[in-house]
Amino acid sequence: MSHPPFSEPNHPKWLRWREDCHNEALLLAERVAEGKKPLIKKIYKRKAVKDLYYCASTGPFQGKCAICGLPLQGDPNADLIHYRPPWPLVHEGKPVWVETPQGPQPHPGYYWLAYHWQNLLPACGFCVKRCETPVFPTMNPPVASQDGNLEGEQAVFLNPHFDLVSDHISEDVSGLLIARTDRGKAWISFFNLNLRDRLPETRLLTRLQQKATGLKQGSQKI
Amino acid sequence: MKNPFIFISYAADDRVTARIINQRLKDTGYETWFDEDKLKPGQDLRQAIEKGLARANIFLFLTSNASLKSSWVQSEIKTALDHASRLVFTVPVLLESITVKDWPFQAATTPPVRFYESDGWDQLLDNLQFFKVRQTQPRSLPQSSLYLSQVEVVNIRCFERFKWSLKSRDGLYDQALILGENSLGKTTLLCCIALGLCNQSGATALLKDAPGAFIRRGKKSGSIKVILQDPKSGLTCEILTELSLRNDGLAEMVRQQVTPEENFPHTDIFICGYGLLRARTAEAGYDSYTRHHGVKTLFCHDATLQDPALILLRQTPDHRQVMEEKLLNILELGEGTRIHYPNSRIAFENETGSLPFQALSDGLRATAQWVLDLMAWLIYANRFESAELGAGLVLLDMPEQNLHPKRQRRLFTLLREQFPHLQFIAATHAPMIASGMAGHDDGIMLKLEKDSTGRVQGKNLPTIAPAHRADQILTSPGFGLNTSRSLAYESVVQRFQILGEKERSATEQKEFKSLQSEIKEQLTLFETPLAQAVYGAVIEILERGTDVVDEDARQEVKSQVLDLLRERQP
Repeated sequence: MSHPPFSEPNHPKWLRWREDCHNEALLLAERVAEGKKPLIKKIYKRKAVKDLYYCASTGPFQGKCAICGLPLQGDPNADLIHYRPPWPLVHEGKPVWVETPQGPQPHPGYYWLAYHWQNLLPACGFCVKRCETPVFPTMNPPVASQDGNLEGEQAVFLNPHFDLVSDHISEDVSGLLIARTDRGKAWISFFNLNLRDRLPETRLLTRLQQKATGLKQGSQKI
Repeated sequence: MKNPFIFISYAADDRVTARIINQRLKDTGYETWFDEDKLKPGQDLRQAIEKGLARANIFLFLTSNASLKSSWVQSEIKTALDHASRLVFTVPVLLESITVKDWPFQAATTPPVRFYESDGWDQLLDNLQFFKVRQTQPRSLPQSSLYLSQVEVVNIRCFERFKWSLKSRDGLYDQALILGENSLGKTTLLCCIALGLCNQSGATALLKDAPGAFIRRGKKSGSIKVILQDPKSGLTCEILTELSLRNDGLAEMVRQQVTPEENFPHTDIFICGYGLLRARTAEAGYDSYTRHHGVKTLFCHDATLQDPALILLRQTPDHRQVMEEKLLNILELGEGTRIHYPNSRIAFENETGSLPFQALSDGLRATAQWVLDLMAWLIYANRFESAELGAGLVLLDMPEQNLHPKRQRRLFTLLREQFPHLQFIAATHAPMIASGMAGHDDGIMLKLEKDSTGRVQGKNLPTIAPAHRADQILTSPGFGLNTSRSLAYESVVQRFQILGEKERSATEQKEFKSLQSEIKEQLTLFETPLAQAVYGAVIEILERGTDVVDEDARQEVKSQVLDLLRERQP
């Protein structure tokens, strides 16, 4: 059972993708430097990489949605999502404004992280849908340029690449989740992890399966 | 058109007028039953009347103070009408100015003809025009089978720029559902398709009837581009409808461009649309199909559908029989039900009795009315002769209206069976309507939603997986609910979360535990009581505090499960 932060695979396909992503990120930076709008290509969700790492049952996310824990197999809408959205940020249907040297401007989105492997998470169709609106709450004003300090903005949402979810959320015997921190609370609430159909049931069944097969219940999974 | 056979009923005091009317009708080409012509000396009057009524399409009731008072006219004619096995329509002809409070019949089919007025004769002829039976021979047959392939809407109501394609891998989708929350433009999209497929004058007339402006607020013009395609021949044609505000900023002007400009297959386009208030019917009769009349109820809340009984009367017996069969197949009123026509009205009869059309439940009546209206338009557009000719498009706003989920579930399957050559596009909120399209490869669902900038966008989704239940459909991307569980459950969960997150007092701990067991009990993992009981037995043992299951526990689970199975064996 691997714990975050997860390591990268050494597979040639992965390395090729990483290189392609690196090049795309450079092109994107150039485009923005020219004053053009960022354009995100779909290369970040290359199928080979999903199969090899993000969605693989042998991968760090064990073939499950990194947010809600539903199995991804058989979900036609499952996909990769961005932890920090690369599209202009929105809060309650309105753009998020940030202070820049040129004055207040709408946040352009974390476009420079569009192809970053640790900014990508596998998600089930429902969580993909939830992430379509580029929402990313932070405690401090969000970073709006490539050279900003991401840790300083204090993201509210958990990033399973780095955060141990069980530090923030615990699973009750009823199948419901109970927040242990404010970040966990925001995470449960934004993704509706207690009220969505199938989720508590899936957790109960997973628990049952783990017990019945004689395995110790995994502590970090939700 | 074939003239109907008219039965003339009158009181003895009105004999002179009756003779004149009879003669003039005969001169005009109508065939009549008039007692002086038909009765032979010594013949039984009752029998003769019944014989006459058995052939009649129209019952012309010459109404006067004398005839209303005449017990003979009232009681005998009523009895005769009750026994009439065929569809006979009543046309009241007022011979003098009288107010008739109680008709001796259930209902008069047309408004009374005021024969005493100077244009009385013209009024009578106009009314009779409605009842002409249509000839079977089609006038012009459609040359191509045109279906909707794409629609593009710019600056119309909630749509800023919107494009929807109905192209499938092998051709075109023949059934499509439009899903989305309220106010996202489901009905508007149906209206746009209808407007785009009407001709310029038809579209202008519809816009006048529609409540509110069609052009997006703050814009001066909008457009609808509709692309039609014949999947067999590959013929493609396009209609661009441009809407613009007049200089006074009020009315909307319509201008259309068609491609190809030459030989555009105008007469091959067939479209019908049914809006929410489709349960109202009128006596309006039509001789031919016009696109904007076929879609009127989508636009105008006062619009009416054609009178169901009149629709059936005006058809040839062959057409009527096919229409009756299709209607009964869709309504599913039970084995052995047939349609009959007491007192000029439609009724459904089976061994348990007779049910008048107007007494059908709201859902069934509304469905029957639009289905009959559709069939009438198909006939008027010469598309009813064979299924091959039936190409066209039907727009339905909320087909589930007042229908029980059991019927909603079957509706689209039945429509496919009865109208295999029609393309159906429906806006719906009902998961069971969506369920009716499950497994149908040529179906598609369009989900309308706002993007992060607030613009309405659409996404084509595949039809529902055949095994999915209503709750799964509701939580699928098409409907997008988090849960189909109740708000009551939601508040239990919220309270549980709040208690779970804090340091609990003794009372709170008690409440927490009670909610915990309540939730556990209510979250049924399995649908059958047996499966749930087996789960309960297993979980009880597994929850005994140990994280590792040993051999003893396995054996105990096994024996408990076996006991349960034995207990519940039939």
